[in-house]
Amino acid sequence: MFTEFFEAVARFDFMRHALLTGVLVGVASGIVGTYVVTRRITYIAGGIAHAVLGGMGIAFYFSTVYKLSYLHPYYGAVVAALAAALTIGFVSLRAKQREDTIIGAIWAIGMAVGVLFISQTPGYGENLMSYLFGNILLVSANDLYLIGALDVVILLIVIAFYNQLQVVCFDEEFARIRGINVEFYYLLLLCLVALTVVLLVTVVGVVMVIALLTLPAAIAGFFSRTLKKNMVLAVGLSIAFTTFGLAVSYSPNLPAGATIIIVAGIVYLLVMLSKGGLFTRGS
Amino acid sequence: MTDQPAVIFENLSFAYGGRTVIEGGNLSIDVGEFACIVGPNGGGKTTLAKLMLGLLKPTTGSVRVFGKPPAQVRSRIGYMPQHIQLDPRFPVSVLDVVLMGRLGNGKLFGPYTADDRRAAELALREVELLDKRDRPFSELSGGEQRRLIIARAVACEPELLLLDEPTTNLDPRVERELYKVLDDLNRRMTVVVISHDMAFVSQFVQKVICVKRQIHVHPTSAIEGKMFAEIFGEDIRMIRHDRHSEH
Repeated sequence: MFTEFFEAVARFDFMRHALLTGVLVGVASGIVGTYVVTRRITYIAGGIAHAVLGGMGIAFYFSTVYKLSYLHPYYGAVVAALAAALTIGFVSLRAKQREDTIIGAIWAIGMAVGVLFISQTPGYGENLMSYLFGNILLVSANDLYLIGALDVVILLIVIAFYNQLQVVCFDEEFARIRGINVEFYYLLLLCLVALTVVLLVTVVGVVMVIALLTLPAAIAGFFSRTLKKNMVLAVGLSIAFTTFGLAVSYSPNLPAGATIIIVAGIVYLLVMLSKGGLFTRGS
Repeated sequence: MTDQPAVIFENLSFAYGGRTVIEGGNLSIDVGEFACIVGPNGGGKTTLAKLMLGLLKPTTGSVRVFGKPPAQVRSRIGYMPQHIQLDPRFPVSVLDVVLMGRLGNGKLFGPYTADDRRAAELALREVELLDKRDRPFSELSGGEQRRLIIARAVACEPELLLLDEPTTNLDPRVERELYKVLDDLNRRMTVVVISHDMAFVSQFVQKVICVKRQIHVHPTSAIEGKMFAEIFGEDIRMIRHDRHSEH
């Protein structure tokens, strides 16, 4: 069934790039996704993901119209993601009751800015589709360096601040009384989410980021008793879903991003049903 | 003065939103003492705890903890709040939770040290949870969770342990065990417990601080059921215990 896929891996650079991208992105998203699921900030991650389109659209427009070839859409994505994360973070720390409104506004405005800039950029507009739904088969060697660099930054931050991030996610009030700078670590966590979202946009696109960020971590949650184990298992699942999704989608020429999400979604549903998490029996 | 009291309130008043919560209160808790703060709901017990932690500032008068403004010595206080809102499904082990007590105090990053682990394990032994160190937090019973949170406060190596309603919703047998744990801890540190229930407290503590807007301090030996009835009405459960009766 997968012979064509394995032949393609052996023959084409783009297939090997795609697989390596899945591994690199899986490391970041398994780790950060675990924080997103346990701290319950999925909606914030969704807002950041959609705001990314604005940054990518602006960078794409200026790099095309003004021939600024060094202005990779990734840079626009990183700036937009961090700006969205810090805005949402400050709002949620300062004025809690308005948090969901602000997230919704950032979500929609980011999309609108992205669509406008991409529509005004000369060309065929195929970039809009790849930003929205992912373009893992178009990852270049140059992109891989950027993905790897972001991965290293995320890993180093999590290793250095693991215990502090854990206490801030588990018991914010205790952390505050112990003199831990809760605001700093919360904003740091949102910045990690922002960087991870940028990585995931490559694989599954803006629209489906939340699924690949949270489903592996949520599945791992059923089998994990510590945060560290949850992260390790989520990384493994994320890599497995991406690899398997790529393999399944190759021969029938299905969109890779959507196939990856379907694979993750089916596994999540099966685990939920077998663990009795969806319905409780009345007997 | 070398022999500072652990906590001292001088002529303290606290008003919140125009409502006077504490009025003209004086109290002092000595180092090594086991004190209990009692009073009706809404009488200002938790306010008193938050004043001791420096989370609230007095409207008039002063609070000193170990001779200093409380916010400066907060790291020397192990505090357990009344309402602990924790996600029961959060993936942490019992040991992970206790180790959280070792954070803060200017430690900004990096892993736990061998000293941290020793202090955490000692705290777990003191609340008799050492054999459950690798169990997930979600598998603990209500009483075990309460003991775990006390262990985490103890792992901070505090000089003052301040517990707000540690026995709420615990059955009397578990409650009694908990007070024995606190009695043991009192050999090493000053203990202040907030309670609305005098049933078990009176046989362990040396000082009872009654709060109902005003603050009255009594040595335990002077406690009479009648006195409580006068101060609080009939809503206080009171069982007369002799301090030296057999357990």
